[in-house]
Amino acid sequence: MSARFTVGDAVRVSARGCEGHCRTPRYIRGKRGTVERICGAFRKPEDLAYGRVSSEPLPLYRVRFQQRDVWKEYRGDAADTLDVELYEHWLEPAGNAYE
Amino acid sequence: MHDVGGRPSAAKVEREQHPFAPWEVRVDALMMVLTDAARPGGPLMTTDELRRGVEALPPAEYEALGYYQRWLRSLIALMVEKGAIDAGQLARRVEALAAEHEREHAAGAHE
Repeated sequence: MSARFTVGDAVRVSARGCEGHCRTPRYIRGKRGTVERICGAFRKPEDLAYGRVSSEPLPLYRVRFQQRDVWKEYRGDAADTLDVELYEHWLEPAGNAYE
Repeated sequence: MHDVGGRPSAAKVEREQHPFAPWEVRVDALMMVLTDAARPGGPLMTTDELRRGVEALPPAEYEALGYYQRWLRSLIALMVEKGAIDAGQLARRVEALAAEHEREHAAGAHE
């Protein structure tokens, strides 16, 4: 498996819509986070949802988001984070998160 | 409809797990059999197909149905879609079972 991103990379979740079935929740689309780990490779849910099992497995990442970046009116601790597992085709490079 | 994360709601979150009814256990088992990778001829469906079927339920039905009721609706729709079962045949079987249940119930009530 060749993974496009590595641990620590800043990524942005695609803001596109989803027809049929996908595993990317709406609330996280368009948000920026950091790759926390590579979970392995799995087949594309969008294909599996129609019984297409022949596609190549894709890297799945656990991406860590700052809660304040996800929820506009977040009132909890500023250090709170949220982890979401996302497939590679939903992620774009976002430069260094701390620049 | 299903993708409710972050959507404001007044609905109470049920945190207690209810004991499973026998039919719920059977729906779960049916899913295991249909997605079994070791099944001769390959699995009849994928977990993601089940999810697509659940997510395709009309919003009012999605809301009204319980967890395994949604699974069952999706499983039936998928098996009909794939031609594994015939919708008419299933409807007749359901009707026959309902009538049988009705008779048993009536007989029991007169005991």
